[in-house]
Amino acid sequence: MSRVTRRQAISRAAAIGAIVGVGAIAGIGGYLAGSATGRETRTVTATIGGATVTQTRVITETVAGAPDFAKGLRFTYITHGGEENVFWNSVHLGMREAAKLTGCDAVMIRPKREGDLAQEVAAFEATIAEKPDGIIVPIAYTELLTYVKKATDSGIPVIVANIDAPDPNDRIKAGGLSYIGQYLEPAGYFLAKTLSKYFPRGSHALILIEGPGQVWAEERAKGIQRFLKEYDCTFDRLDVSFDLAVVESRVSAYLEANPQTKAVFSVGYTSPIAGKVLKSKGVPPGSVAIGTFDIVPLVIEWIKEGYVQVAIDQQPYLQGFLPIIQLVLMKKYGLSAWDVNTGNAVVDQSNVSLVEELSRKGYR
Amino acid sequence: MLRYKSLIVTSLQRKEISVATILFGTIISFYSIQPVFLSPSNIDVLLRITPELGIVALGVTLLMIGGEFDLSVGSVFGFIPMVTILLIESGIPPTLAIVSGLLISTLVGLTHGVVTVKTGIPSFITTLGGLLIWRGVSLAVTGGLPKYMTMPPEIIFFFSGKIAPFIHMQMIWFFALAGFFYYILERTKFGNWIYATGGRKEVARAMGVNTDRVKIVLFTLSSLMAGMGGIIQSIRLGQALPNQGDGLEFDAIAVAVIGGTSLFGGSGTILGTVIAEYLSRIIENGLIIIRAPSYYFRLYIGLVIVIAVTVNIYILRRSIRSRVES
Repeated sequence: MSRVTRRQAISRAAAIGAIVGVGAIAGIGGYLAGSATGRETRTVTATIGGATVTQTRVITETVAGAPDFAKGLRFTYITHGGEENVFWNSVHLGMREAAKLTGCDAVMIRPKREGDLAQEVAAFEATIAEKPDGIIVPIAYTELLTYVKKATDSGIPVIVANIDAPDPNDRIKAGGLSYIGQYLEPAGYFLAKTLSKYFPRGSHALILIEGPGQVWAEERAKGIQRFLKEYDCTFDRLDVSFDLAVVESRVSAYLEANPQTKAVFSVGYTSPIAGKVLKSKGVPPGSVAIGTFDIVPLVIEWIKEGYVQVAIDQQPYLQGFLPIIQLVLMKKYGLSAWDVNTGNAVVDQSNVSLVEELSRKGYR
Repeated sequence: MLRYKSLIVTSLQRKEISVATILFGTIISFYSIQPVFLSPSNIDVLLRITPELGIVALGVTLLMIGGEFDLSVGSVFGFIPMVTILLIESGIPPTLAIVSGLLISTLVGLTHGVVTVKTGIPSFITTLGGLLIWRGVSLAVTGGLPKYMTMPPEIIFFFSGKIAPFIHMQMIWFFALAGFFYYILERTKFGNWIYATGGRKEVARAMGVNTDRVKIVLFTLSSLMAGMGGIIQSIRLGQALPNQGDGLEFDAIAVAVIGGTSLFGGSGTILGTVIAEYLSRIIENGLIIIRAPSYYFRLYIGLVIVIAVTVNIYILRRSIRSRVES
């Protein structure tokens, strides 16, 4: 406990006065900066050129003027995706553009650290206290269903996006009105079926599992396996991770030992590594069909190289855009929420250049 | 009148006054922007979530006053609940599993302390090792998946139950521990040893203080508090996540520093840390309530650190100068 003289105490009081002033200015400044993003008017014109498609799009952001359709409505999107997570930047972009189109106020709360449940729950509780007109949340942890119920009980409608509860009935029981995201098992089936035109019936296939035991990975794998059985194929599952070096060494060993493999799938985005392995062995593109999920630079690169035939995009932009639209319609016209499967977009040679451009801008 | 005046002067003479003033200013700012900030339900939320990290910050503060760092608290915060769950899964009764978990956390801290003191490696390095090791073990054991913590209701109540409106068990733990550490630091010989160990080691040794032993005790306490905070959080959320407490070490150090603890040791208070912990949570919560994008949290905490430390240094300089003058 340090004690100081009266004179120091007075000078300290002056210093503290100054701090409070600075703090208050910073606080108000930050708040205004935060809300100002919704007020500017600007026009963005982008020309997207590709080998097959050329398209010009104009995005006009005019919140202050035209759209007062949903003015005064406030929505909060709570996620587990940390501030650096690129995938969630696309969701965020979709949410912001839907808010601008309708004139509502939407914010996304992201934890400082990816997947920090305690922080997400704290944010969820603060949001419920703040009483927005609607909440959007992925069920990354089943614990979150408790708070979905709490929000619903206090009269705030909740839409689930990106990740549904492992059993959708639990989400419905908790009050989650709809699910907007990829249907995981059907997405696996769809990927395998789409890729099947590149390999004959009865072939041998390899499935890379980047998150063994995790719901999203197992569900997609289940769908792939369901189609492969229908297509009379044999297959092996290979547990890997998102560490590309690990994937490369395991896949390369597997293909060495199983040269009869005609198709490679991954439940995440690592199967393009199989293309890399094949290329280094001098195998031409197309002799082994490769299918994958999600649009990342690695996937785009190997589609362009010709080694990856199909990638399924779960369209994160839509997972930000559509929940806002649904909530606005619910609030304005009392319409009900509805489930949307955002995850059936095929990316292949025909549209990869367009997707690459859009991906750079955060739309894909 | 004179009495009030002297009361004001006395309170201005406390070191914690700067952070307390910032806290007050922050509360007023948030409230004036959005009155919901001080609604009963939001106050309840704040009171419920603050203690877990606050308990960790208490241990870190003591250790920093003693002149050392603990970068491993975030990992221990995740590791100890995980160990506790594994013990329960292997058939040990929950109460015993929690006690064992806490004992293991003291062993973890003891190891950090002994290695640091005996080898002379800076604690920054040994506990950086601890940060990676304990996080690594948690990830390896669980394969990166969360584990559910199902506890009997008495235990849940004991650690995170609601006693009355605004009064939660975790708060009682936090205040009891804060009070205990305050007493030790300000009223006992051991408290003097902590300040001496962190301030001037040679002087402390000359006084006959076994600085090595003091440091080892502080490392042990730091890990124990991290384990305790982690267990409370896991019980409250009903699960232990392998990434639980990731990055918490920097939050805890930031809170200690905002509360007036010196990075060089020898100075700091428990009360300052308690106030700073509430400040940190309030900024986080308030930004959500006023619907500011979450990106602003770091910016604000950064500003608060710089302002609080600047004021503390200013005060320190003034008091040194006046000491020299008189």
